Formats: sequence, C-alpha cells, structure tokens
Amino acid sequence: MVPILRFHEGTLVLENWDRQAKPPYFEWDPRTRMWRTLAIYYSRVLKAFEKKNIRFRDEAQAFTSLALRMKFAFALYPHQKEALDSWQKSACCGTVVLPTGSGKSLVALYAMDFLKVSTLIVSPTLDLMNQWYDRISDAFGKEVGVLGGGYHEIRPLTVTTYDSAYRHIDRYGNRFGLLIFDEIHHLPAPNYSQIPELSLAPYRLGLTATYRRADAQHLKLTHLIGPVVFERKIKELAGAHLSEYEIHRVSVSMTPQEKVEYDSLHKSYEKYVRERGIKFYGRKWETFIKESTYVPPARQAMLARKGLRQILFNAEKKLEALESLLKQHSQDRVIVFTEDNDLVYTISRRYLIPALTHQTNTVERKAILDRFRRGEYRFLVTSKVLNEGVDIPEANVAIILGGSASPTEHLQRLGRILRKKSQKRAILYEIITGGTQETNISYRRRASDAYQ
Amino acid sequence: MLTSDLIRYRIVGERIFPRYITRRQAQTYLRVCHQLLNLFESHQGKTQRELFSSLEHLEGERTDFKIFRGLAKILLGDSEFYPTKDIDYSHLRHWVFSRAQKYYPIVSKPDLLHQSHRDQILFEAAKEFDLPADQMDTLLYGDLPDNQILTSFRTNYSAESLLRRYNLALAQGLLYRAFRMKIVIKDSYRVVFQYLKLFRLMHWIRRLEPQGIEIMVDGPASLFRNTQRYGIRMADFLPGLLLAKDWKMTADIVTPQGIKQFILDSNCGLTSHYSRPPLFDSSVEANFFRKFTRKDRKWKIDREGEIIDLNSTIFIPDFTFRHSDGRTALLEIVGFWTPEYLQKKIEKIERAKLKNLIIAVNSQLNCSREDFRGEVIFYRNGIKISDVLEKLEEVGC
Repeated sequence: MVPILRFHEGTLVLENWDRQAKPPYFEWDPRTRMWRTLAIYYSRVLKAFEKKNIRFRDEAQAFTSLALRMKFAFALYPHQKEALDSWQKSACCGTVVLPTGSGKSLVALYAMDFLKVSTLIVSPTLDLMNQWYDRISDAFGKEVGVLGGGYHEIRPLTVTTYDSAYRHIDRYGNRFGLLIFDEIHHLPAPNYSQIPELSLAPYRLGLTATYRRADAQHLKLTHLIGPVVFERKIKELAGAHLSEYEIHRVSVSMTPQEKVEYDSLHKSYEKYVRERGIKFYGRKWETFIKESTYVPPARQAMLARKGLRQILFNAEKKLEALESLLKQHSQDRVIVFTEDNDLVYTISRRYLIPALTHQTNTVERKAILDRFRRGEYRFLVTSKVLNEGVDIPEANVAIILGGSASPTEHLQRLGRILRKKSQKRAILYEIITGGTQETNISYRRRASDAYQ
Repeated sequence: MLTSDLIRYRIVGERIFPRYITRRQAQTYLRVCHQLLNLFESHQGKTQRELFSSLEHLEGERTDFKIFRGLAKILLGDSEFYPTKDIDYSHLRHWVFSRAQKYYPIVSKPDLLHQSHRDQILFEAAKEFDLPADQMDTLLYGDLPDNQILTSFRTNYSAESLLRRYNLALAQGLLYRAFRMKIVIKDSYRVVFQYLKLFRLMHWIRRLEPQGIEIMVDGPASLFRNTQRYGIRMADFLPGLLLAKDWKMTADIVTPQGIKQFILDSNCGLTSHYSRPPLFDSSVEANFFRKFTRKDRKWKIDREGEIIDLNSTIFIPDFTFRHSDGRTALLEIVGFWTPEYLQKKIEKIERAKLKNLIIAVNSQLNCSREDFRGEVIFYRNGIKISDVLEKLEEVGC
C-alpha cells in the first residue's frame, strides 16, 4: 500500500508506514498507532522523501494556486524591491525588518502577487487585521475572508489576528500556502508560536520594525519563519515621509456642574492616593489595582478615578469647541479622535458624522474609509481604531478630544494625517480640559520629539 | 464560560484550587443570584446598555465584584440580544451621512450663518425607511450591541442552580490553562469515552490492578509540545466526567507561579448540566437488554461492560455476562452500515483476541462468519435470547 500523508489538527500523520522504520521528522504516536509530526515540517518531509525517492500520496495540503493580479501597479521604492528580492532568494521564507511607515505592506502584497497561492495574514490587533482586509481587497479585487472580530469566514485570502489564528490554526493549518505575520515580534510568545508550528505552509513572511526582543525570543523565529532576509534602520529612511503641519491647542473649562462633580471625586481620590503614597507606575500602582478588588477604600478610590476620567474625556465644553472647529473647517477633510466609544457615537449622532469604532464591522468599516478617501464623506469620527498605520492621506485636519498620556500613541495619530499627499499643510487641534490633571498629560506628550 | 479575569483561584504549594462559593457563603450569594435573575427577567425588551448599567448599579462598590460579574456572565451567556428593527443599518447610516454632507456643518445651536438641519435629515430618513421619526436618534445605531434588545432570557436557572453552575464554571476556568489531564476511573467508562470523543480529545490508556484504568487526556500536538490548546476542550469535557462515578482527575495547569496541579474526584460536589448519553446506541441493543432482563437467569447481564485494553486504544464490548459460578462472556453487536465503521470494528475484534466474545452480526450487512475471529451469530430483526444463551455456555470462561 502506498503511504498516505494526512493533516490532522495541526499535525501530519503518515499512514501505511512500517512501525519499525522511523521516517525522517516523524515520531511514533501510540495513541493512534501512527507516525506523527508537527505540520511545520511539511516542506522538509517532502524534500526528504523526494531525495530518497519515496512514493507517497499527499492528502495533507489543501491550499490552492490563485489567479492573483494586483489591480494597481504601485512602484516599489528601492528598499522595498531589495527586500522582496532577498526574501525570494531565501526560498520565500524569512522576515523583512523595516521602520514604521516605510511601506512594509507593499512588500507583502508583492510577495502574494509573486506566489499566487492561498494566503493567511496574521496581525496582532483587530484594527490591523481590518487594515489588511482593506488593503488586500483593494489590491487584488478579491473577496477576502476574515477570521476574528465576530467573523469566521475562511477564503483563499484570509486575514486574522494572532489570537484567532492560535485558536483555529489546527483546523485551517493546511489551507494556506503562504503565511504573513505582521508585527512578527509578537510571534515568539509560547501560544502564538504554535501558529507557524501547526501550519504546513511552505512559504512564510514576517514583517516588523523591531525584530529583536529583550528576552532573546526572536531567535526562535529562524526556525518558525526563516532568517531575517532584509533590514533597514529608521535613520536611513527618515525625512521623506512627513509633511509640514501646525499644532493648535484649545483649552476649555468644565461646566459648573462638571466642576462640582470633578472636585468632589478628585478630593476623595487624591486623599487616598496621598495617604498611601501611590505612584502611577510600578509596585505601588499594581498593589493599588490589586487591592481595589478586595479592599473597600481602594475600590472606592478606583471608582473615583474612573469617574474623573469620564468627566475629563466627555466634557460638554469640548463638544462646543469641536462644533466651532467643524464650522471653521466645513470644507476640509476632518478626522476627529476621541478616547472612548460613547463619545464617538455622541458626536456621530449629534453632528451626523460617520463613526468608526472597534464595534464597526469589517465590511462597513472599509466602506466608510473608501467613501472618506473618495471625498464622499468629508468628516470622520473615531476612537482609537485608526491608531496604527491606517493611511488616510486625504485628511488635512485632525481634532483630538481627550487622549491618553502615551506619547507613541499620540505620534501614531499624528503620523496618520500627516502622511505625505500633495503639498497641503495639515492642521492638528488638541482640545483639552483646562486646570485639571489632563493638562499634565498633554505636557508630557509635548515633551516627545515629534513636536520639535 | 467565564473570562479569565473572572476566574478566582488560590495556589497552595504545588496545588491550585478554585475559590468556590462555599456552603457558608451560599446565603449571601443566593440573594445575589435572586437579584440577578430578577434583574435579567425585568430587562427583557430593554437594551443591552440599560442592562449593563443596571448591573453596574447593582454591583455598586462591592469588593466581591468578581463573583458578582461571574454570576452575571453566566446569565449573559444564555441571553440573546437583537436589534429593535430588522433593517439594513449600515445602509440607513450611509443614507443619513451622505445627506448630511450637503449641509455640513450640522450644529447643535443654530446661529445666523448656520441653521440646524439635523432634525430635518432624520425626519426624511424616517420617511424613506418607514421608521418612527421620534426614535431615529437611537435607531441610527440600533444594531450596536449596546442598543440591541434583550429578547430571550429563557434560562431555567434557579438561584441554587446558578450558584452550582458558577462553581462548575470556576473549575472549568482553571482547565482552560491545562495542558494535560489524568483520570483514574473504576467504573462507567462508557460515558467518559463518549464525551472524550465528542470534544475531540485524545487519550493514552493504562490498565490498573486490580481494577480500573488510567486515562491520560491530551490532543494531537501534545506529542511534541506541552500546549494549553486543548484546555478549552478539557473544560467542555469536565461536565461529562462528572456524570461518571468513582473517578479522580489530576490536571496540570499553567499559572504565573509555574505548573500547578488541579485535583478533583467524584466527591467534589460539582454537578453536571450535561445529559447522560442514551444507555443504548440502538433499538436492537435496547430490546435485547429488555428481553434478557425480563427473566431471572443464571447469567447476569451488565451494560457497563468490561474494558479491553488494546495497547493504548480500547474496546468496550456492548454487554458483559457474569455467571453465578464465576464465568464471564462478552457480546458485541455489529449492526452498522458504513464500510469504515465495519472495517474498524473488525480490526478491533481481531486485535482483542478474546476467547469469550460473542459477535452478533446483522444479517443484512455484507459480511460473513470468516470476517470475524470469535463466535458469530446472525440476526435479522432482533437478537434471539436463545441463540445467545446457547453461545454463552459454549464460550463462557
């Protein structure tokens, strides 16, 4: 009988193979009385069998070739071209390291266009997954499957998250010939690394700006994906991509009612924090968070903090300021950023502006972005959804309401609207509540170097 | 199922224990269960946002909010939410926003230069989509989870059963992070293997002396990696195990403090909400059993049969017979059609090499006496008791 290679939940099993003769890469599984190995060894097994001239039937792989053609011929920058070349030379297995904003995704699209095979694209967040969905459907004009964020639709081209891929890879690990990992420095985590292990995809591409991990776990990537095939530092590319921009800071005060509520919450919170000498980082902060689940005063302080933040981020006066900015820029292309979802929907309903949040489904999200790019929609309001890497070069005004103290987050938001497109001058407004702790947040932000 | 932030446990030495609601705490939490059940009941027809805000209100400043939220989470898992109207919401929004573009900016306080067109646009949309104009403000996002309506809350929970379910959910929660489970069991193998199979778990088996077996439970990739991938299946399996009697389970759980053991046994007090699988797989089996037990006989019939260890796979014949003089015999009924099933069964019987096995074969199946090793009887509509009794005397040992 001819040996048969099958895919079984992320592993390969070999049927009709002598118990006594160990095939390369396989181990004997007494549970099912079969030879078994992890799916990642698929290519290697094939090569070994070929070398020894072993005849077998391959019922493991279930991916297909596709008639993929990019609809638009984006020109590649030299660094993108080089990256693609060296990946191809490395048997289409390996990682490309390029700084944020240097067009990693275009390298991925070209890789797909080159192999023309079923592809799974894995990203760390739903937001990024959605962006890949947009990009791939635009680039190839094909229906793209989505696994994650409430969707479970597998197609030859499918986007997913690390979490969903980890959960389902044992079911779909034989359906894709190419795996693309965005932000691949997330992959070496013990659970996530099972995604490439339980998949038989012969081709693998990793993308990141920060390959090295402090815990040296990136060393595992060579086995899981392949070597680093190309790397460029930020200094070698900087400057080319940012346009000029202005920054305006709008400070508003709270309504009397908000002020009263704020002061009373602040007093009780402040008292607890001062008495306990709590700092906003490190051990004491962690203890505070932990204690708030069983020590009543700590719980009260935590709730007060939540209330404070709510008032700050939702101040009615901010909406007034927003309204006047919208009047001023009624002919511009405006993106409004807020800290939380509720405010997004308040703004959307009050001013009839399309909204994007993590609750917006993938299909409607793409429709909204497309319409914004075409100018069919001029305004857009969003929570943190657009945080990483969505290109909306068409926007020339950004208005930030609230916002957290994280400078990187802030920069990414900036980068979004400031991507170079024509010679326009972008404007950034930041609306903050005056005379509160939020002012401090904003000072901290300004300290980061993009403002210089 | 509880999310990981709601799973309460403590670690003592090498062991991990769920923080069950104890009998002593029960009074307090039965009250909470009642409150929650009433709250869900009274929120039928209301939005998810209203439900959540009522839950938040009821939770208040209590420090045991993890228990509170856990109980609520179980009820949420059995609730269904739907939008008020069955319309294409994204189409409605697109209609409204496109129209609004023409009048931008929409303002909340009209002035000399800016009229507010908001109400007018929403009014037109109401007409276009045949919706009540006064509800347009909420209908615009009527499909958001927040705005969906609690339409079905038809759980059969009582306060007591909700508490029991919560304790079970805590135990299941620990198993999410299990990478291996060992079960020692003396009886009722059938139900255990049925549920292992249902949740696609794999197993290693070792016979124990003088009685019982040890089952090591894991999944395909466990041969190469310690993986928590099958933990969810093990959690799903647990209520199945609870249906068995006389067992002990030890699971290896990955925790921030390293690997800890979670031990449960048949006296753990947790209750299953799974149904016991039907005792018989077919009417042939059921009828045979009924007929055989109608009379008092020297041979006693037992459904929970002997377990035959086939070097890490198992074979449980359908019935075991025990004679008062100590002889035993086994009966396996082959009534199925699919070729793979038949092939597998023949192989198993072949490998078992049992001297005291009787095989009852459906005469409509395409196989002959020679296909089986052992004593074969054929049947058409039902197995004849006399045929079996005769064979029992021949093979029993």
